[in-house]
Amino acid sequence: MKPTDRMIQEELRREAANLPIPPDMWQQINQRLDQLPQVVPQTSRKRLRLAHWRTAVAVAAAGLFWLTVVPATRLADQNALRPAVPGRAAAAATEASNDNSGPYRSAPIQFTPHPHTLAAAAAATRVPTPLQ
Amino acid sequence: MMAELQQVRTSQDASGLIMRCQTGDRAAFEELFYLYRDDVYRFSYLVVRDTVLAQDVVQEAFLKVFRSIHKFQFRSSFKSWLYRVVVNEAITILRRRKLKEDLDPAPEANRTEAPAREWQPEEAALDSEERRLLRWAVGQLDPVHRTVVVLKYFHDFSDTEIAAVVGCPPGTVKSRLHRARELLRASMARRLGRTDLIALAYAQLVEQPL
Repeated sequence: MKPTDRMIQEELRREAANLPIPPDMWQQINQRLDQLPQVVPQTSRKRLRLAHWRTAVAVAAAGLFWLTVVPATRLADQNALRPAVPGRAAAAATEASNDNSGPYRSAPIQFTPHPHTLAAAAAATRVPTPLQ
Repeated sequence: MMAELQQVRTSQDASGLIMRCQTGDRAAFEELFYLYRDDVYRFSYLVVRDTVLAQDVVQEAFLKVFRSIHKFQFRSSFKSWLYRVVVNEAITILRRRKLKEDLDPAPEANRTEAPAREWQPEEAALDSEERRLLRWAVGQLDPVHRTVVVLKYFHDFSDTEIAAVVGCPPGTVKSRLHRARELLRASMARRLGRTDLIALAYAQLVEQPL
């Protein structure tokens, strides 16, 4: 005789269904829980407290980053754009107008030519006069 | 469909309860206990085949769950995790009982089996011979094979779920199930053969002229 899967399933379920559940199991467990040292809740609370601390530290770190690193980066970007050498701004403006794809392409660049630059330009454009 | 919905609802209910239990909420743990009590008790009984031992298994398993629920991290299903604890507890209790039986030569008197699994005359009218024989044969399986049979046929666990519960690869589960079916068949055939022999001897005895 070979027992089929269905037969085994039905038989186990029938046997389990006829089994009365003892009503006082929770009371017994509860008594045992009362005798347990309160290790679990303490551990859990400790873990929770640790998790709160971690969150607080992460938020503080993010705030600090926002207040220090982000303004510093902006300042560095501004310094990179500011003309440090006379004539450099003119070259940057020419470059920006040629290459219209950079992040500062729409930003108009204001510059004041240096007097030496103006003098050099005037010298270059001056028409030579015949030898006297 | 209804069973699936029920399962989804149960797992959702359980998630909230588990999180509360993890903070040491005893009321939540009581709810969790009642959510799984019937299934766990029936499973324990089918594995240990003794009502008192089954109660011990449930009690110890839930105490263990309470002590270590903060370690549960929702990576696997809670049901699998719970049944793993229950299976380990059942095996431990059965081993302890076997050890006790080896030391104490009169163990049978202490057993408290549910009346349904005994071979009783009134059941004969209701149950077919095959069914009673099968019930007896399941009781004859060793705990390891009985556990996979109960998880498979009573709880409808998949091979993968059983593997997660008993802590072995799914291939091993398949081979254990196959072996369990073979053992059931063999012990039923053996019992039937012996019953046939007794019936034959009885018939011969009755037919003998006084």
